[in-house]
Parts: sequence; structure tokens; C-alpha cells
Amino acid sequence: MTIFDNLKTNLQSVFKKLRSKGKLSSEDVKNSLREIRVTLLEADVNYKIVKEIVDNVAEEAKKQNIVESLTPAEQIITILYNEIKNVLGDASPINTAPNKRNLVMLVGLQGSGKTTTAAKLARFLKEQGKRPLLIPFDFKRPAAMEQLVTLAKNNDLEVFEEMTGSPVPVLKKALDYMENNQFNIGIIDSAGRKEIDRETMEELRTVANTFSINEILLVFDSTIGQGALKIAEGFEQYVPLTGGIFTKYDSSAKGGSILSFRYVTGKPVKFIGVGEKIDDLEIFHPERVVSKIVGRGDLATLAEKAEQTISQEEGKDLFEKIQNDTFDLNDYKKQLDAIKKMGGFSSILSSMPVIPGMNLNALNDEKMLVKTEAIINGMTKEEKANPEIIDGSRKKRIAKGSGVTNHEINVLLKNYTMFKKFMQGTKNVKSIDQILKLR
Amino acid sequence: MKLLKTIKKIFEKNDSNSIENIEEFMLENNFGVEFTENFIEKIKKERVTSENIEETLKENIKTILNSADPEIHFGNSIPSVFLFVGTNGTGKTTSIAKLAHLYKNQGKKVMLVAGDTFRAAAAKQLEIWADKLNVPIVMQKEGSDPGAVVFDGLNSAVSKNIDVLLIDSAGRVETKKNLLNELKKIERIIEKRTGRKPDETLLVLDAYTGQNGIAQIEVFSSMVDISGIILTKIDGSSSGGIIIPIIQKYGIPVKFICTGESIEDIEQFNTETFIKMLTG
Repeated sequence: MTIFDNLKTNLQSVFKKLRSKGKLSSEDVKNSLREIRVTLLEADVNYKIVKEIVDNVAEEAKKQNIVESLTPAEQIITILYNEIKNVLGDASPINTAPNKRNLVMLVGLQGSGKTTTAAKLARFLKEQGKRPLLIPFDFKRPAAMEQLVTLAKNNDLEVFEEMTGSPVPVLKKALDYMENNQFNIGIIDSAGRKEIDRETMEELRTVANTFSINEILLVFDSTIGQGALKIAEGFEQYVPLTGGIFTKYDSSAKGGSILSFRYVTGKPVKFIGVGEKIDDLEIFHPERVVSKIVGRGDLATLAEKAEQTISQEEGKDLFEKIQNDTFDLNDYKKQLDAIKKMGGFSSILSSMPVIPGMNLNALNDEKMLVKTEAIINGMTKEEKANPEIIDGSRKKRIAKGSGVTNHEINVLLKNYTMFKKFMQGTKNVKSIDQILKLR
Repeated sequence: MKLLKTIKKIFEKNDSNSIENIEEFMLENNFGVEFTENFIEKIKKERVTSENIEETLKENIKTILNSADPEIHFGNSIPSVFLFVGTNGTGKTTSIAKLAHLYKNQGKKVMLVAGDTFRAAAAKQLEIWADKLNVPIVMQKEGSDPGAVVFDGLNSAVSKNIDVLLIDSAGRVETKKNLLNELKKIERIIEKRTGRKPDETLLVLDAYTGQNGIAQIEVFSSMVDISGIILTKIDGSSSGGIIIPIIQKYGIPVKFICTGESIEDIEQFNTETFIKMLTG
């Protein structure tokens, strides 16, 4: 999955500059916005969309008073993340009705990969238990039908081989064939055409108007540049597109054209083509793509979860406690609770910065988290507030009451101390989510 | 495209966003950030006015385009060998058909080699063209070694006194190292058989291509000796502006442009014509 990786690298270099500064001037914000703009443009995101995204990021940054933020870079990334995510929309399956004859038509420019995609899609649907029929529908390109027939034969797929005459009668025949042979989904591989070629676009419109087609999918080459916007507009103008498929997603193209398609049509990108083999077709996951764009990977999701689980107030509270050196085991437990809510320690372990001296392995499973909770619950109020008073005999009592070993209590106390020390050493930290972000 | 007209209009408005808007217009044509920013710097520094903005931009583009020589190189002895490479779906096979038609009409003896043994029915597509144009073709069955087909083609061309041998190859994206190595092998086979590298190794580039075009050139030219570009699918909605940063950076010339779907729609690259198409 290389397509958005480059964009990610570029944005990361932008934010590296931000990160090193800590606090921003309004000039810094402006510069970072400019760099975001250039990066998006280099990634073939259409300039109109770039303008909109950058404007929205600027506005949101202002609203969130980013200049005062202690972690401005992360905040800008989050804002940008949300903006791009908004444009990308959600994942969406192929829309078919059960017990019915369904039609999917692939449309697009010449060379976008319709025929290869048709075969891949048939394979995908077949594996889902459907009975797909490939329908060659390119009356123009030499050997286009032979290509689809060969692909079908090589991959144990079925294909309609009577493509003679003109489009509408051929498709009617194909529908009869589907009916008689119990195919429940027909994949129409239409001829490549330019969105500005009126004659062939009108032909397409006629087909779309004559037949009831469940899905009209625009097959789109990921390497296309700024023109993507006009291409999508052109096709949208003639036929009711229901989605898109992006091919050559395994190239190094940054794929900004995906944003253009989404922006114009508002329709979901359903699949991406990731290679030359028959099963190199993947369901498109916008959230994965957007994480890659802003370069936070799964960390983005974690940070979001953290933001949900730890309220601003609690965060402020923690900060003050660290400052005033009143961070006790109650507070430690609160942080662990937050970790638990975020899906357990193991899920965030790989995202954690190394906290010197802290035994992460001891926390690296649900059981241990439960035990930690039990240990703390087994303590008196006094012990929780002043852990240093916990001596040998107190440990013995707690161990007995919580059903743990002495050693486990020692690990807990050591982890608490190290965590506290680490928090004190890292100024400006409000909560666990920011520890994650420090990485 | 009417690009320059719009730029002029923006300049006349003379608001604070003017420069940014011009920048966007250049970027929209896939000129790339580097060229665009340099140009913006230039017009700022030289205080270019709305009267001479058009000329300044044209001159800039012209200088870059003229920095690479678009002349077609035929071999000292026949056959001249042209190898066509590129990513999938850019129009290699169709470009070969167009060029075969062009050279045949010039009285040359042309032969085709179906070097794409991977894509289903790719050879068939070329064969249909060969029949239509009445030129010989060398092909083997699908899945066979492309190197062997090329070797066959070279032998056949020599024995038949062919003037120009046009060799197709399978499309491959620039991230597939092993497939690119295969091209290297084909180049070696040609060099071994004829005593020289292909007279032209032409990268077929889709005019719609965005900034990925630069990666395509970068990677392909690191594997084989790319001598020129064939820019395909140029029309009112695709300018092929990506060749400007490409030529600026790599000095690889565009040798042919394809402007339509019929067999005659191929022409040798000409700077003036291209600028006219680009700027409207």
C-alpha cells in the first residue's frame, strides 16, 4: 500500500518542523498551512479541494486556539485528519438485491483498467457465493472481448460470448442468457471513452437509461493528476454513478485523484486494484487511507479514543497533581482505567514511548490490569494517597486480600513510581493520550 | 485550455490572491510545484505585468521544452529497433499501431513484435492491428518468455530486411522491481543481437498523468535507457503538462504526441504546437 505513503512522508516532514517548536506563532500556523497545501497539490489533490481543505483547517485551528496549544502539531494533524476523512467518506459494499438479476457496469477512460477489474470483480463476487456473468461490452478496442474471454477462461469465470451487433440488443440478449442460466449478477465491461466525447458518452447514457443497473462504477487510474476532477464531472453528467474503483493503487502515485472523485460525485470508492493478479482487488477502507495521509497510523485512532475517555477536566486535574506532586495511586488507577477503556495495554503497547524503568510486560495483558486494579482496591485510603507508607506487613495484608503475590505488588509500586517520575519529567503532559502523542 | 486568458484576467483584477491563483492554474495543469514556484518567484522579481505575463510563461515553457532534442534516431544499419515501455493502460499497443501506419506510409518496411505476453489478448490486439495495416508481426502464445519473442522478432526482421522493428512490452507499474528487471533483460537481448541498444526506447505516458509521471520516468530510466516519451491521450481535457517538470528534471524529450483515437492521430513533437495546445 504505497500510494498514500509518500504523502504521509511529506506531511511528516512538515510536522517535524512544527513538532520541534512546541509552541506556535500565527506565522508558524500560516507556514504549516502553506506546506500542507503544497503537499496536497504534489499528491495530485485537485487545487479546488486543496483550497477548501486548507481553509477549513485554518478555520478550525483558529477555533481551537491552536496558537495557545501545547501540542500544536498534533492538533493540526488531527484537524487535517478529520478534514480529509470527511472528503473520503465511508466504506461501502457492492449494492445487490438477493434473488434478483443484478447488473454492475464499469465505465471509464481508455486504459483505466476496466477489463482487468471486471474479471477481478467477478472473482470477488463469486467468492461471496454469487453467480456472476462477465459481459464484454467494448465494441471498439481490438481484442477487448478476447481479453475478457481469456481472463474468464484462465480464472474459471463465466463470460457471455455473443457480442455482435449494437449495444442495446446485445445487452438484452445477455440478460436473457443470465435468466436462462441462473446468473444473478452481470458485470458489464464497457468501452473506454473520454468524458468530453459527446457521441460515446451519449451511447453510455442510452444504455444506462434503457436498463436497470444497480451499480455504475467509474474505474479510475490512481496515477491521474489534476484532471481527475473534470473526468469525474464529465461522467457524472451523463450517467448516474454509484461509486468508483481505483486501479494501480500499487503504484507510487499519491492518489489525490481519489479525493477529486469523492468531491465531485459524493459516491463511495468501493474497491482498489492493488496488483496484476486476479485476486488483487481490495475493499476500500477510507479510514486506513486517511491515517496514512496524515502519518499517524493507528496512533490517530488511539489518540481519538484517549480524547474520548479522558475528559479535559480530568486532564487538567492530573496536570496540577503532577505539578504539585500529589499524584497518588488513585490517579495512577485512573490512568490505567483509561488504558483499559482504550482496549487494553497490549493494544497500545507498540505505540507507547519507552518509559524508563517501567515494566511494560507486567501490564501487557488484561489479567495484569485486573490484578493491578484489585491491588489498589485492596489498599486503605491512606495507602492509596501515600504509597510510600506501604511496608512489608501492609503488602502481606494487601496480597492476601486481593489474591496476588508480594512480587506483583512490588511491580505495581515500581511502575507507579516510574510512571510518576516520567510524568514529572515531561512537562506539559495532561493525560495518557499525550504520552502517546509524545512518541 | 484557455489558461493564459484566465491568468491575464486574474492579473487585471490585481487582488492579493492573484499570485496564489496563478500558481493554482499552473498546478492544475500538472506543471508541478517546483516549476510553478520558480515561475512565481520570477514574475515577482521581474515585476512582470499583465501585458507580458503570457509571453513570459511561454518563453519559460519553451526554454524547457527546447532543452531536450525531440529528433527520432534510426539505426546505422537496419533494422532500427524501437522498444515501447510504460505503465499499464497508457496506450503502448495503440501507439505502436499508429507509428507502424505512419512509417509504412513513408515507404518503410515495418514489423511488429508482440512483446506483451502477460496481459490477456494483448498479442491478439496487436495482431488485429497488424492485419489491418498489412504489416508482419512476430508473436508467441500467451505466457511465453517475452525475451524469446523479442529474439525471434529480431531474427525475423534481419532476414526480411525490415527497416523499423516496433517492439511492444507488457505494462508494469514503477513499483514492481522484478518486472522492471525483465525490461532490462529485453534491452540486453536487443543489444546482443544488433550490437547496439534499441535505437529508441520510448516511454508511453498518459497525458492525464499527475505527479506520478515523475516517478515513472525516474524508475524506468534507471532500468533502461529511455530515449524519449510518447505522450498519449492529449485533448481538450488533458494537457500533458507533467512533461514540463519531467523535461526540466531529466532532460528526456517528448518525441511523439497522440491526439486522438484514429490511426493517423500521431505526430512528431513540436514545441510551438505543444505550447499552443497547452495554452489555448
